[in-house]
Amino acid sequence: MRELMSVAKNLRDRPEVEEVVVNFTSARVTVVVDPAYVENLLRDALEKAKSSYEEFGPLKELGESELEDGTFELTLSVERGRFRDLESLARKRGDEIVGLEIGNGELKAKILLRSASVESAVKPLMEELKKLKFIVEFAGAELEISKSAVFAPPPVSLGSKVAGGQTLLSVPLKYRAYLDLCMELGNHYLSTI
Amino acid sequence: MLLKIVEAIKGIAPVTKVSRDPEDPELFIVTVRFPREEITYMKEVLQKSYGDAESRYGSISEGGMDEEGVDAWIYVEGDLNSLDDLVERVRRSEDVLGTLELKGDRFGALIYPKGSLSAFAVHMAYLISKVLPPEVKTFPLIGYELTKECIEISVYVSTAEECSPEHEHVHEHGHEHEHENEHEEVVP
Repeated sequence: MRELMSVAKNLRDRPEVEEVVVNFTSARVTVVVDPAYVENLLRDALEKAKSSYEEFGPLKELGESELEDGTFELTLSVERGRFRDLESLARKRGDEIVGLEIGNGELKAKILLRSASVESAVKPLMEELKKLKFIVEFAGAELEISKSAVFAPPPVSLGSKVAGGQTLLSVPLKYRAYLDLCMELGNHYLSTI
Repeated sequence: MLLKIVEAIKGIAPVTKVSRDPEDPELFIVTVRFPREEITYMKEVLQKSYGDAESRYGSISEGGMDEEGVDAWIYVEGDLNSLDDLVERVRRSEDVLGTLELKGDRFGALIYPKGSLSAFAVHMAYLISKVLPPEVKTFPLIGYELTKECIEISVYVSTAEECSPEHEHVHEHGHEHEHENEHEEVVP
């Protein structure tokens, strides 16, 4: 149990972690990510992305929309001759051109900003979780981490606030990462039951 | 493998059914049934255990017992510095720690007192894990149901090398059951 405490406390001390919930009977460790932290990272990433793409000369149109999974899309117009440069930049940034419209001497490109997504904001945390390996004693049994971390963001909208008045019992349904546990065989506690 | 699982668990209690997870062929839900008479003894233990909870844990924030008086839960909050002490008390008293929440410098712990149906079901899930072949991984309790005749306890087992239940169920004091998509395979 001390090992779990230590893991849970270390996780809780991370700046992006709001709460750590260990549910022994459903064998799941849930890490609740602070929505404000994620949203700040997203805003920064979005601003950086805009500056990068603005370098492509006169942007005749710059739009943004937030998709259900928290990823942003930019729509911008570039001179046709500069499309290869734009494509190269998008690839370099880890973004993806998902739509093209050909106009009079110019192209309208829709870019999915994977660099400004929730997934990318929580990537360091997920990498950390994937490294975890611990066994915890539970009601005479031992539970071990059985699989790597899963991030499951429900649909979100930027600027929304987590509902107030929550107790420790009700976990906010915002950004959550999960670690599943399973029972270890062959431990030595059976005789105590 | 399915038969091996059923045979192994039969030594503990009659297996009511084994259901296969439709999305994962290596994942099964094993349900065992106990006669209702088991509860008479549990009730006596629980009444004392629940009554003594406050003295065991200093003070409890919340607590409750079901209508029949067979299941109970208590919720204890405190400073993180006192968490190790709480865990030690849970262990010594044979209660079961259901959920542990860490937020800031505080913790919240949901505890099933000794003698409660939830605690009984957790121990049973553990016993099931002990009798299964070593290649079968077990996950703790996924639910229980109290009927007029019996107590049914369900446990996930997996024959996958890397066990991954991918379960979406949520336990709240051990009462929720969300297994709508199960495909029943064995009813001995």
